[in-house]
Amino acid sequence: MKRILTYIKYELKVFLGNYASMFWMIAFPLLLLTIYTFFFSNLRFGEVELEKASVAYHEEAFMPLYFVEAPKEMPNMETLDKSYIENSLFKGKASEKDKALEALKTDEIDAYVDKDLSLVISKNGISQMIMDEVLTTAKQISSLKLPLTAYDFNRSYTENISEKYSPIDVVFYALFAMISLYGAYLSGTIGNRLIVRGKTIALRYASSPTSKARQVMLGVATSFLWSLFMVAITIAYSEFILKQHFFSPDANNIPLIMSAIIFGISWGLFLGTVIKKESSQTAAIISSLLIMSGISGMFSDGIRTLIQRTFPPILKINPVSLISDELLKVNMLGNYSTLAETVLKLTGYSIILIIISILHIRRKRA
Amino acid sequence: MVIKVENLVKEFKEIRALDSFNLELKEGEILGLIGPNGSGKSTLLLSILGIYSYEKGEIRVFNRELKPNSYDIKRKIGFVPQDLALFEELTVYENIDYFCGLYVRDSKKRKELVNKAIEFVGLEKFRKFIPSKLSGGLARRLNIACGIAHEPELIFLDEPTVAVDAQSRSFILEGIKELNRQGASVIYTSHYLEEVEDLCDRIAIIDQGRNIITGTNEELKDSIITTEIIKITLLEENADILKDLRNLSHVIDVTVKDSEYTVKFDNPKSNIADIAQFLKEKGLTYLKLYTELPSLNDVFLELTGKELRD
Repeated sequence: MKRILTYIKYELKVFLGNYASMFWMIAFPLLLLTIYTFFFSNLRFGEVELEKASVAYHEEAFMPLYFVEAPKEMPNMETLDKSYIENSLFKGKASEKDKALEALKTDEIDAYVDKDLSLVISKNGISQMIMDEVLTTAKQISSLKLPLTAYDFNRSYTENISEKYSPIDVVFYALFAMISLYGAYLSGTIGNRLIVRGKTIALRYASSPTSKARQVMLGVATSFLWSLFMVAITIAYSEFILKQHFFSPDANNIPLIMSAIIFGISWGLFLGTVIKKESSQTAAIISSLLIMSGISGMFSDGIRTLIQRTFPPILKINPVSLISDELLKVNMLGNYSTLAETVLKLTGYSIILIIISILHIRRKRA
Repeated sequence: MVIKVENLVKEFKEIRALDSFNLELKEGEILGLIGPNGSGKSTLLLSILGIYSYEKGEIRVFNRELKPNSYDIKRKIGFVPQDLALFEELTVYENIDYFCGLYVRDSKKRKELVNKAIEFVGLEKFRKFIPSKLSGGLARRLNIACGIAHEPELIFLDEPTVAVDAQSRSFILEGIKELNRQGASVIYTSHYLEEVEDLCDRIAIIDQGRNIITGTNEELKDSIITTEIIKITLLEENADILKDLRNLSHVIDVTVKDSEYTVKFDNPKSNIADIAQFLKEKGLTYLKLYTELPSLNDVFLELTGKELRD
């Protein structure tokens, strides 16, 4: 154990051994968080104008939409008018799909809810996001063939939402998601130690009696501790220094953050093994993290909205989008409907990346 | 036998780096490998170490085939690579401790070994220095210490004295001799022929992936001797001697430079007595009269047709 701790100490010293590394690895993300807070914190808890979204829906989608605002009691289904709906988030009427899509193109409406509860939107916003969550819950209830009473009538999706959540939070959570993947920078060096590419350090490892598996494990353990430290320091910095509340003491954060950290380590390991040149590896890690974070809205929630309009599947597969969305849902909305799916997806990604990396390391005997 | 390499063939795509290569290293021996850049020295070392796979042939280390997972054999081996293989962020002590830790798990024993290695390479005053603060020679010593701290029985040193000042070179060579005295078998590659002559029990000349010849320094020189060169310096100049020397039997060439005559015979040995007799008969007094032995460079030139640094 003492030997492992000594190695972890050395690995961290090698990783953070100069001021440039320390700046980019520790100070830069915190600086970015500080700058974001400086510019955007006044937007976070300001009055959010919840302009009602204009929607059209398939007749069969009426019920889930109706329950977006919890009714006081179970309504009489026979007398309920299903052709029109209005609540504090949106107003709209039943419509044929073709007509609705046309209206969507000309911006007459903001969203269309189809028969299968899929949501087609023309822009992103709080109303659409909440509708998406409600529809996801409705889909789950529907797929389980549960009765209508399975809806949580005590839960209001709109109550005090303007006090808890602001669209600008997307930017912060994308940054937190990126920081949770910072282990990639350290795990990216593992490949260079184990694959002989003219690297003399790798020659020392390859000629030693320490197995590659053990060396990978030590590298991964160091990367994990490093990531955990970065996440902890970021949370502490935002909570206690910047006085910005982003994380609730919710245990559901644990599997989410763990799976994010593991994905980050796997991503670095993968890039570090398949890319030969060290400088290209670092460039690939930096650029990939920035691109993934940018897509999920780290630089502007407008970018995210644009992608949601033009090619929404990217947001469903982009790991940083998955992590940032889930952090936001867990900590701001208390919504866990897609948490398990996200954790499984990230774990799946990680397993695939680790398998590819290990196969690559094993085959790379000159 | 510590190492036995038989008919080894190693190819990189279309290039044959080692071609039916044979080599043996006996226990307690220092074997020098000399050859120009790209001759296959480093490829041979990395193949023996199990880092490179190879197409044909057999390599046995401590009488066993060395595979990537032959950890018990690897534990007995130390490797000092040609280029500095150090962490710039770690101190002298930490670097040695890090690499020694790849071989020795017990932290107490490792501490002892690391301190011993630091003392061995004379870096006691620099234990808290990072490599970039060390001179080239001291950094080379650290590079060696990282490879030998675990006290291996077999040591590979790949050109450890490149770009090293004379003082450090002498220190390093003495250190290698000491390691050998302590029982380690050594394979040593170098460009410096004088080092190899001084240090090694046997020498292998490598060119274009082939082991041209292996033997002791004397054996190598004997192998190329088909002529004899005798040098004469006379007390007084003599105008006729050049002609008289050329008329002697077996003499094929005579030249003179700075009052020194160089006489080349077509047979390898025993000509010096005839020359001495000739000078006596002519009543000439000589200041110097000796047979010039071939250098290792001559051996290399003779066997490969090129200079070592071509």
